[in-house]
Amino acid sequence: MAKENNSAQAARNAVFNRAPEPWQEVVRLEYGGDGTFASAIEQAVRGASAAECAELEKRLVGVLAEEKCTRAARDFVCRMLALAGSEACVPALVPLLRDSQTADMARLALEPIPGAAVDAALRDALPELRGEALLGLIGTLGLRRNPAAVPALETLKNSSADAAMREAAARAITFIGQ
Amino acid sequence: MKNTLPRRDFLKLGGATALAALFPSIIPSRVLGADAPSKRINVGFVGVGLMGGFNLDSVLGLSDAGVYVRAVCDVDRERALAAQRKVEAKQQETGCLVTGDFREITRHPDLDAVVVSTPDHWHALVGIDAIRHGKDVYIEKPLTLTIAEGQALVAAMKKHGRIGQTGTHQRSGGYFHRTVELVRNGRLGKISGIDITIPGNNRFCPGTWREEPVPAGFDYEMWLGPAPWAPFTAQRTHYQFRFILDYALGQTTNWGSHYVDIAQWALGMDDSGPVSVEGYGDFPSSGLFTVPSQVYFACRYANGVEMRVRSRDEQRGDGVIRFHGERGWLEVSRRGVIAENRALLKEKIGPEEIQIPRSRHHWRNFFECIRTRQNPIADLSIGHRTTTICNLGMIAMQRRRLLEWDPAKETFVNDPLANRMRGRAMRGPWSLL
Repeated sequence: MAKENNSAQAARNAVFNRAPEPWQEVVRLEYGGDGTFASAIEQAVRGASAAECAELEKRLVGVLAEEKCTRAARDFVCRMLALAGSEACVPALVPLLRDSQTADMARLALEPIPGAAVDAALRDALPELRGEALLGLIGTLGLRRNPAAVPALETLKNSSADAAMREAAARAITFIGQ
Repeated sequence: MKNTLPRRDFLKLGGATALAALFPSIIPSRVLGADAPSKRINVGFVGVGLMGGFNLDSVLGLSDAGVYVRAVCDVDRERALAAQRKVEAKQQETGCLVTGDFREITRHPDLDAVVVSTPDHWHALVGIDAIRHGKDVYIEKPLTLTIAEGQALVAAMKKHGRIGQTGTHQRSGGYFHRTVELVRNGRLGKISGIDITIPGNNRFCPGTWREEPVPAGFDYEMWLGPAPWAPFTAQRTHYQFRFILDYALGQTTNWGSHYVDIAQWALGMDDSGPVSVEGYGDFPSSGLFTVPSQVYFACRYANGVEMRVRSRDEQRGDGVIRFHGERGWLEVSRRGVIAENRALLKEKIGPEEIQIPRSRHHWRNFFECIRTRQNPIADLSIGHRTTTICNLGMIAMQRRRLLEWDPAKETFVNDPLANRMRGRAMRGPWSLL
């Protein structure tokens, strides 16, 4: 009888262990694909306590580090880090922030995260970006009202060949000074 | 005084096609002065789809008030051209400008006012650009997508001294005015609770979807604008955008803003809001649509009044609001006013009692206020407070916990994560700055 019980338990464990694990599945997330696993994580993030956020942040950063991480998964992680992220996720986001193709989503994650490390990462990305990604970054620097960003913004305002860039920098400087 | 400002080529659509004759000479009302007898109010429309089309029909009927539509914009070329044809036929003159870039309208020197009927994620940016360039604005409800956008929009309106009306047109409806006057004058006694019912959200949506080719003549990049990039699929855009959290908050703001607005008005809370909120939403686990299919949230005001907002099972239009007081209940919708005590409905409001400002026509009220420079019946700052409450409800449904809200500071108390949900970073080049 005890053997049968152990066997039944093992079978149940096997079924349980075969069930998908959201953190593994979300790495393969595709736009338009099954979003069940991502939404399970999203619910956990949106309802998280401050203490839970730290653990969730670690796991989110872990997804970014996965070699097979898709674009949709990366974008999803950035959205979640905007809620649960701290300065601890900055190193994982910096490479994305410095690439014009991925800068918007990295900035989406970073803009609401408080902290000097975030300010520095955003500031340091200024020379790396061009075009619309740079305009977006200028906006974020302005909205964060970090006075340390003003010298770099002044340089853009005074020397950029692009009128839109000069205007954006001027507006950011004004906003920081308000 | 003659307008000598140079005119730009206003005819490109999606940056591609030159279409019609040049914009006729227009003298904006601000050039002539508010009391000039020959003054016309020249209006540009940004967004002429479903709601924008209704709004266009409304404004095209106001030539007796000196209001003329001079320009239309839509990222969908077919819709823009159809709107242009409608305007020219109705006003019996050619030269209505058509464009796919809203900045051609918000920055045009000859326009006095801009009507914004885009998807919600564009409301703030278009409105702010228009205000900065000296335009008065009418912005569809919900006023903005996020609380932060509403704050920026109201700040811009105040800074630049512009007139702004939002599309919560129930403020111009007789049934609602009557109800608010009865409540404000204490005919129900002390108010203990408010129940609001709104239509259900989109309930049925497949768990997966496919990327589709962007239709010719549709500027998808501009449609996305500040929202995060996502592949095109037709259901993402026209009207159905409302059920995707990147662009809207579903019926929570779509219908919620109409009826929460009446609650705020009746409670005399137009410049404030509740102090706590909690909610439970039924969010889809997969698929394109991300708003909750079932909505429930409850707000509590500092005076103890609890306002409960819930969705119906079906999507049938219109909502309803019921006020509960010491002397029974009073309920109003677009179908009329009913009361537990029918005698209440016959009561008159005396001249010594509280008189609520009255607008009999939402559009005429807006254009009258452009001339008088008085605050319209649904001023943007009022719309911001109403939209904020709908946002609080959505955030509470997502946080699944009781949240304390400071209506003076417009921040959640002791909840950094909820505070982050008040705004969203925008895709470049767009910014609230």
